[in-house]
Amino acid sequence: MLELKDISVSYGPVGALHNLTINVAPGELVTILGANGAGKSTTLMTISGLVRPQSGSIHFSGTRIDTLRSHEIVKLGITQAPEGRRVFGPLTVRENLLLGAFTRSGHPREVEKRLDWIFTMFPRLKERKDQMSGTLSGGEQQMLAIGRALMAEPRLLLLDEPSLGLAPLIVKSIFKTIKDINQAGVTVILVEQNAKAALKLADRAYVLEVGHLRMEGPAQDLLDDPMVQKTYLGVS
Amino acid sequence: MEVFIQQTTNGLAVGGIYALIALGYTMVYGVLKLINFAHGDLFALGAYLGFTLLVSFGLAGYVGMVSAILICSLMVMVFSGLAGYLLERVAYRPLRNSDRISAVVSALGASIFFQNAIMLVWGAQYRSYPAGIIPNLTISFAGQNIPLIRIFVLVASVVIMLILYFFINRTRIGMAIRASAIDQGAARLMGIDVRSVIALVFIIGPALGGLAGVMVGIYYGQINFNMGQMYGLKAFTAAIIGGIGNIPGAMLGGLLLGLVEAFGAAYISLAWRDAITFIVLILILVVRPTGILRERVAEKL
Ligand SMILES: Nc1ncnc2c1ncn2[C@@H]1O[C@H](COP(=O)(O)OP(=O)(O)O)[C@@H](O)[C@H]1O
Ligand SMILES: [Mg+2]
Repeated sequence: MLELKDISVSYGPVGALHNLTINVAPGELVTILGANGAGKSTTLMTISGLVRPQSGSIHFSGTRIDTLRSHEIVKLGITQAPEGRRVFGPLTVRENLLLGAFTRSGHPREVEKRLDWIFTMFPRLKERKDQMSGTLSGGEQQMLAIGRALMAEPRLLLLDEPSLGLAPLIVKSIFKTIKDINQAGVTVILVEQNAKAALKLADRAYVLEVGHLRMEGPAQDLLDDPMVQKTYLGVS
Repeated sequence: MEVFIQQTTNGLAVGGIYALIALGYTMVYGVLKLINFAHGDLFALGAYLGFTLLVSFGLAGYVGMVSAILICSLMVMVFSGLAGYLLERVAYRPLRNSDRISAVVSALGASIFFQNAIMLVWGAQYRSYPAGIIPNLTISFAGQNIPLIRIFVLVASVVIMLILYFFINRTRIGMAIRASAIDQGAARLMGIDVRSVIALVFIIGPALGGLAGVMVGIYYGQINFNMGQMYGLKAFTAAIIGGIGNIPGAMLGGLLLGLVEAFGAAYISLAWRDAITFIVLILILVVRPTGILRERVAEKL
C-alpha cells in the first residue's frame, strides 16, 4: 500500500534520513521506533509532503506521491496527527474537526456522519465541542488531533508520538482507540518512543537510529530481541 | 459639543479608511509573518486607478454618479487585487524559502517600484477627484450638520468590514485562511492548499486597500503619488494597535487611530495630527507590543 524506497532527506547540510526503505501493507498497524532525533517525524512529514526527499521514491497504492503537494496527498487518503498535536488552539473543537474534513467539503452528509462517529469514539470531545481547543487538556488535545486526522476518511493514518507527555492511564485508552481504528480498516503507521506499548500493539516494526534503518520485523520478534530489550525496553 | 460630534464622525470615517488598509497588512502578516511594505503603494495605485476611471474616462458621464462610484470601486478592487497577486508571485513567492531579510528587502524594492511607476504614469503633481462626486449635502445629527460624504465613507467601510468578518469566520475558505495563519504546517496536513491561501490573501488585502484609495480620493478630493507612505504607516500603526495578524484587531485599531488623530488635531493642534500616529506607534511597541488584543511583532520584523 505504501512503499518508501531509498528515501534520503536532509535539512541543509545535515542528513536526517539515509536510504530508508519501508513497506506497509493494507490493513497493517506498523510502528516506527527510535530515540529522539532518529528521524521518525521526518519520515512522516516526508510521506505527508511537508518535507521533500533528496532522493528515492514514495508510492501509495501505485501512485507516486513524493512529487505531489501536501493537499493532494491528503486527498489520496493519507492524513497525520503530528507530533505535539498542533490543534488550532484559537478555534473550537468542532471547527478543528471540520478543518480535518477540508478535502471532503463536497460531501456534507458524510462529514456529519463522520463527526458523529468521532464523537462516539471520543465522548469527551462531544462534551467540549464548542470550547476553544487550546483550553483542552493534553489528552483531549491528542484525541482531537486523532479525530481531526480521521475526518478526511483516510486509508492511511500517520500518528506521531500520540503518547507524548500523557498520563499512563490516558495513554492506555488512546492506544486502545488506535487499535480500534486499525481494526475498523484504517492502515496505521504509529511513531513512538514508548517502544514497549507500541510493539504490543503493532503487527510489524521498524527501528531507526540517527537516520538509518537499524532493524525491521514482526513486532513480537522485536519484543523478544535482546538488543531491542536492552536499548529500547530498558531490560538489562 | 459641536467639535466633539464633528471630530467623532470625522475620526470614524478616516479610521474606517485606515482599517480597510490595515486589514491588508494584518492578513498578509497572519499567514506569512511578513510585513508587505508595498501595501501602502497598492493603496495609492487604487486611488489612481479610481482617478483614471472617474476623471480621465469620465465614467459618471455614461452611467450616472451612483453607478459610476460602484463600478469604479469594483474595478479598482479587481485591478488592485490583481496587482497584489502579481506582487506575491514576483516579489515574495520565489523567496519563500529564503531568510526573512531577503523578503523585507524585496518588499521595500516593490514599494519603490510601485511609487515610481505611479509617478511615471500619472505624474508627480496632485490629482483631483471630481468635486461633488457625492452630493455636497449635510445630514442633521444631534443638532449638528454632518457632511453626507462622511457618513457614506463610514458606512461603506463598516459594511465591507462586516462582510470580511463573516467571510473569515463563517466560510470554508475563511476557515482555511485562519487555520493557515495559526499553523501553516498543520493547515497543510488538513489538506489545505496554503500556497493558494497566501495568493488569496494577497488579492483580498490589496483589493480592500485599493478601495480605501478610492475612498480617500472621494473624501479629500486630492491624491498624490506618495500618499501610500503616510497612509501605509498609519494603517500599519492601526494594525499594530489591534495586534498584527488579528483581523478584528485591525478594524478596531483603524477606528481607534482615526478617533485619536481627529481629537488630537482638534484639541491639541492640527500640526500634531501625523505626529500623534507615531507617538501611538512607539508607545504601543514599547508598552504593549502584542497590541490591545494579542500577537507580538517587534522581533518578527
Ligand atoms: N526543521 C528542521 N530543520 C533542521 N533540522 C531538523 C528539522 N527537523 C528535524 N531536524 C533534524 O533532523 C533529525 C531528525 O529529526 P526528527 O525527524 O524530528 O527525529 P525524531 O522525530 O525521531 O525525534 C534531527 O537531527 C533533527 O535535529
Ligand atoms: Mg519526532
